[in-house]
Amino acid sequence: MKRVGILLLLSLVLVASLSAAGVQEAKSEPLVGVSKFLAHPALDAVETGMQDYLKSVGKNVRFDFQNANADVSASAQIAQKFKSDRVDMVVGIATPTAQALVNVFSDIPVIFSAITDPLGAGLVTTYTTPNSDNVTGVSDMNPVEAQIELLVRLTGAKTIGNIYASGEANGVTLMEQAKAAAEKLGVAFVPAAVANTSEVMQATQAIIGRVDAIYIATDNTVISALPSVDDVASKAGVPLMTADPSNVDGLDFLVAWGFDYYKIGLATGEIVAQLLDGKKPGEIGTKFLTDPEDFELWFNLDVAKKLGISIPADLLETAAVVYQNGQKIVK
Amino acid sequence: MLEGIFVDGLIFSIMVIGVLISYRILDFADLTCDGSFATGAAVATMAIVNGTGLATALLLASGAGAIAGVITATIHNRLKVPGLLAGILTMTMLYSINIRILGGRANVPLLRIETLYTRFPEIFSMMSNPWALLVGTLIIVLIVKELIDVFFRTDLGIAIGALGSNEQMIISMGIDPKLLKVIGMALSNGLIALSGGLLAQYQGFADANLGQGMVVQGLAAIMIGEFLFDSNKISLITLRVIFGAIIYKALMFLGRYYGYYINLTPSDLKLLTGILVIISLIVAQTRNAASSADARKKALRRNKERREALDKEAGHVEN
Repeated sequence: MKRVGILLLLSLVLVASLSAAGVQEAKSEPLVGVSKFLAHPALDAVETGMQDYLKSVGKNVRFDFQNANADVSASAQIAQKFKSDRVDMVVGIATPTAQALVNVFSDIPVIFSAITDPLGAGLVTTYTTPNSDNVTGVSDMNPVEAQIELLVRLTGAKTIGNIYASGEANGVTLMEQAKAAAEKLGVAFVPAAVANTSEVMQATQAIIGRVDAIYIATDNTVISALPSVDDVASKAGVPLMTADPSNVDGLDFLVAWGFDYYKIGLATGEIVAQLLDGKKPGEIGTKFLTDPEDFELWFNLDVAKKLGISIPADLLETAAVVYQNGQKIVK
Repeated sequence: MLEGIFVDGLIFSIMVIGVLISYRILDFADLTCDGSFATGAAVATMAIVNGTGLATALLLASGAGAIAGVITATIHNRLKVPGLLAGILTMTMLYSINIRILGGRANVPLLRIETLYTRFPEIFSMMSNPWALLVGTLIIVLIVKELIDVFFRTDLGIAIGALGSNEQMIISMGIDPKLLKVIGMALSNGLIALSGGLLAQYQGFADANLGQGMVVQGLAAIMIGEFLFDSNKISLITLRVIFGAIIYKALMFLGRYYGYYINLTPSDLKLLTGILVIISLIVAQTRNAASSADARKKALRRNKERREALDKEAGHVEN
């Protein structure tokens, strides 16, 4: 029994090591390794957008999709897997997986996607192009200042509350930016930190009595628990703004204004296509989406009516989606 | 391949030796690990970023882990709460402390900066890059293993080893079990944090969520090791832990590699870890049952023989 166990395991490892070396299939189409930190609607949309873009321009590539299941220590292993597969380029979606890829690969292009602060995450040393780096990618830095401005303009809030995940790199960065933006506008800012999704409701309850409006940025933890924020805010009659419109269906939010992550995926796919055409990563550098087209403005007019807030007509015109009388109207 | 399984597995094995000390040797179900692993990564990263030098960074990391272990053991000893609860408390507190250590950030990169894993290829310049990393890591692991083996052969180490199986005996020998627990837990979490400090350098960043799920992975590796061979010699126990850690990483790597043939997606890997632990437990239990049934048979036979011998003797006397 004992011997059999040892033999079985050791031979398994051996066979794997040998066959992994020989698994190289005939290289016809370039192989792209995609390392995603966790399954999440926004990050999944990035994957889809990237594939759709490449399909639309007629680029045939093979993908290897890997997912770290939010297990940080798995990101290094995924990078190693891509290395032994000798992939042609790698895409890292979210900070830890992108960092592990940059750490392992210096010879092939590394493309990061949906990273809020690529400089702070150490992925790139500079935003200026051209540079000698093998790293390029798309940032999902939000127009935080414009978002806070809009929220203040709509609600006339004197105090803005914010729930953020202190354990997420982008959560902290966005909170600091929102704080700076609020200070600039002369509005008080009340942040509440959470460690995981189960704390979101309590954090919201803790600050709801002290704030006139709530702003939620694009951190994975709080966005995943958005229904609890929404529940507390709507019961207290406090308007809620979120920077991620992809998660608001069925919620009593007032306004959502942010990226369509699918478009971040399209931009990522565009970079992959450029690299396949022979462009150097250093020539592309870091891409920021600044075109208003890439953002979507969503309003919930039922909530606005309940709160006694009127949405200016110029804003309503630019809205992509409006909820009215329980109906979702896509413009 | 080489790196994904062996370098990763060797770094991981230091953590598993730490879990072995708490879970198997001290019989202390310690969850501090999930926190102290990230603490090690955070301390090492901040030390390196601030230019203390690599050796100092690793020493500081294990020191910080040891303190975490001392805290857990002290909560357990003074407040008389179960080890499990004490560990959960420390782990929870460490989450906040780790973010403090990282300077209020959740993630600090170690990219484009000199770390142990950029030094190894320079030190072992005659080897190719993956081999240099492997040899460098192997040397560290062997040093750690040797130190642990030596420690558990000293009087103190033997007393700690005895504590887990029979606390009453330690007390009756006039040794304070509380002190032994503090020392054992400091050692265990020091190793766990050392492993975290190495992993941060290897993967290029420290993250506040790094430690999540480490205990379970460590237990899986210990049980795979025990599945390999039976032994009560410390040098073989630590050896099989290292094997177990490498095999665990290999199985995870293979799950990623060939999983799609059997429709296994990367998100199924946690399920795989759990099933691995359960299988190892079943095997260990059947093996134990078999060996105790065996022992009972042997004892019965011995008894019978002794009785027969006595009968014979009695017969002789009567004659």
